[in-house]
Amino acid sequence: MSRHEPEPRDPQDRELTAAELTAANLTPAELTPELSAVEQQLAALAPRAARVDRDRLMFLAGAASEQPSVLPPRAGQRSHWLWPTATGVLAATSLGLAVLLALRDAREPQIVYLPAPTETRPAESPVSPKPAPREQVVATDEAADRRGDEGSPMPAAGVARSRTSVPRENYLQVRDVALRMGLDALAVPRSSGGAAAPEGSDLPTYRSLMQAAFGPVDASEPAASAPREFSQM
Amino acid sequence: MRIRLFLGTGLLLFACGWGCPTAASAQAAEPRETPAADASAMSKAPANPDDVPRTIPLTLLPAAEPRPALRYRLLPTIAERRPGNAAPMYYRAMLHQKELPQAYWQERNENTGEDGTWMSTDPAVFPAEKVRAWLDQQRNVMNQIREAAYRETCDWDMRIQDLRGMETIQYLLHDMQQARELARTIQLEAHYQTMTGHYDEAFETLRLGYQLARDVGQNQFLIGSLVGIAINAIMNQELLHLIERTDANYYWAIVAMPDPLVNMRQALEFEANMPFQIYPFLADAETAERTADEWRRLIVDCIATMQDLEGGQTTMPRWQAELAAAAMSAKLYPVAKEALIAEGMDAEKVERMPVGQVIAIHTARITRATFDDTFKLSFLSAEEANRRWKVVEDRLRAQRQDVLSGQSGIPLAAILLPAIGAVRTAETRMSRDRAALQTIEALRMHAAVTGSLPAKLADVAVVPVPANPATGQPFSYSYDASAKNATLEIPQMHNMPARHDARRYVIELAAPPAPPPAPL
Repeated sequence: MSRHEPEPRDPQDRELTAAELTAANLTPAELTPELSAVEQQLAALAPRAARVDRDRLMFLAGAASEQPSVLPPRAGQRSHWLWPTATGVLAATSLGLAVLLALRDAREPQIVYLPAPTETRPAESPVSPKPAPREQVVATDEAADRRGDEGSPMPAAGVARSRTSVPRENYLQVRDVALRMGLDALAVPRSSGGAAAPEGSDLPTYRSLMQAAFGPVDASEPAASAPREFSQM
Repeated sequence: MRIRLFLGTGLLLFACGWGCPTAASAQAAEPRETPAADASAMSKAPANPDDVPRTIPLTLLPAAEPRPALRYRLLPTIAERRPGNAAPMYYRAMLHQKELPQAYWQERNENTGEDGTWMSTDPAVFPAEKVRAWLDQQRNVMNQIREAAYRETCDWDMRIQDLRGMETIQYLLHDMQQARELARTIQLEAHYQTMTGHYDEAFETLRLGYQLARDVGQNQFLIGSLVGIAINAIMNQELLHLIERTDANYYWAIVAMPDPLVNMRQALEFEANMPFQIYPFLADAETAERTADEWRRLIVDCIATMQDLEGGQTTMPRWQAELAAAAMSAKLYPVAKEALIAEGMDAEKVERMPVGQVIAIHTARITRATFDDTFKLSFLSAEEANRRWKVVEDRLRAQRQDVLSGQSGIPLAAILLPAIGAVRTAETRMSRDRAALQTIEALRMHAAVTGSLPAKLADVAVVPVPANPATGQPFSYSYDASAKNATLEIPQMHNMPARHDARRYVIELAAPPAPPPAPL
């Protein structure tokens, strides 16, 4: 039975309680030997001096409020580690994701040459791609990502968007220069020219090309030379 | 302390991505617009030489209405045309020009510049034989142009509406720019014929030029329309030279041409749809079903290629684009979600949507609204459009300045929207110059009937005198009875220097013409 628990009492004990209360008024001649021994022991005891240093107590309280780790951790102080832990985890996650992104960038797009579509464009599709054959760049990770794009007007597989840089002289730049500064600000593509045309020579005509390839068109005409391949002209 | 250090590191990572799109949008936020004409520009006193219009003396012969009235037509009529497509003939003409050496073109450039004599209107200075010798090398070119001008149709067959992604703006337009060389050859040919007295042949050559302007202007790109307008201006210049020398009146020839000669509506429709061709995922953002990762990839691609739209810059590295997309999505998503719900979309549906789709829908709606707000004015007359342009321009400016708030989604409109004010100015100037020529011919017709120039434009009753399409008001005209000449003011377009755009014609009537010189 703990000293803090109230003792069970029976009616007889109640009478004892009243008796105990009156025991303080017992004279030394009325104390039992046991009680006398307890009295003597209690009288031999001296009060202990206070061991709490008030100044140090104040210091420790202040230190605990600033740096809770100064004091030994108790159950209530576990939450002080929560923020540093969470921040550290988030920072580590961000760093890890950045590393993953950097690694993903290392993959180069693969150039794939595709044959030009030979079927005619469907009449009801206003967004079919241009049929002229062109070199096309297909990124390796894009074909897999096109799943589920059936409803979109994205170009068909194989006619993928280019990831190469757009040249400086693209339509937007040319348009904006023309609108802001006029068409004269645009460089007009000049003829490539090359060597000056020989004097007296004309551009090749159908007749001269046919004569060079197959001989004189008219039997009465003298043969200019042996027929040549077009590539030799 | 350590908390602050860790949190600061996290914020720094976000700031790296945040800085990229905000820099791009800040660049794109520069004002691009040039408002159209404003009549108040006419009344301001000149403060410097650029504000003084060019004074052009015109000595004109009175010229009555031709008989029959539509004897002269500046475009081939239906009856004159032949079946077929003109575009291949134009390409053949360009190929012929490409064969000619660089020295040949250099000779032309040197002699048609500011100090050159080939475009002189003084018969004593004009080197007719040299010009003829130069033009003889382009006989084949002129033959092809002549063949093309009389074709029934001109279909360049570019199908630019089928382009997608970056190939939309990578499409080369060297043929449209080469068309300007064709126009300059036509101009020189017409000039030669005018200076040597072959007026009918000069008029016939100008018909080829006006038809070229119309055919090139039918191109779906805005650049094609602008080139067509420039070719029209070149032909107007030569037509005025011809008017100064001939006793034929071309009033009805000018009026009979379509107005505008170059219709920019098709080109403007292409421009209005350009964001959805470059970024097709915006076109079906509201209905497409894609995974969250696909939407994220599309948004990342869009942000990565936004720098490409500026042209010539290094494409943003993928990791940088990912970071920028993450930062931009963090900013845009709440704004976009709120906007979609405010516009009536079911809140639960919006919450279930992938982040990328919400951003795409919001961006698509804002981009479409911005472009429509801008291009709707192109369907009005110049005068009506000018009155409403300021309101639209102020709204666009406010939107560009507010791009960081996310209200405009991914700021595509700021990058892709053309300087629509400059487009309107070019279109209006074409109409203004046509009206000026029409007014001059009306004065000649009046002089043929009454024997003198009118005291005011309202006195011209023989034919209608057009108003200035830029202002809706008549041109400024005054008659000096003592000097017996009239001044016709053609004001500049808004924000244009008067010296380069405005003209002051000082008109006096000429004596009856001397017989034309014998043809060479």
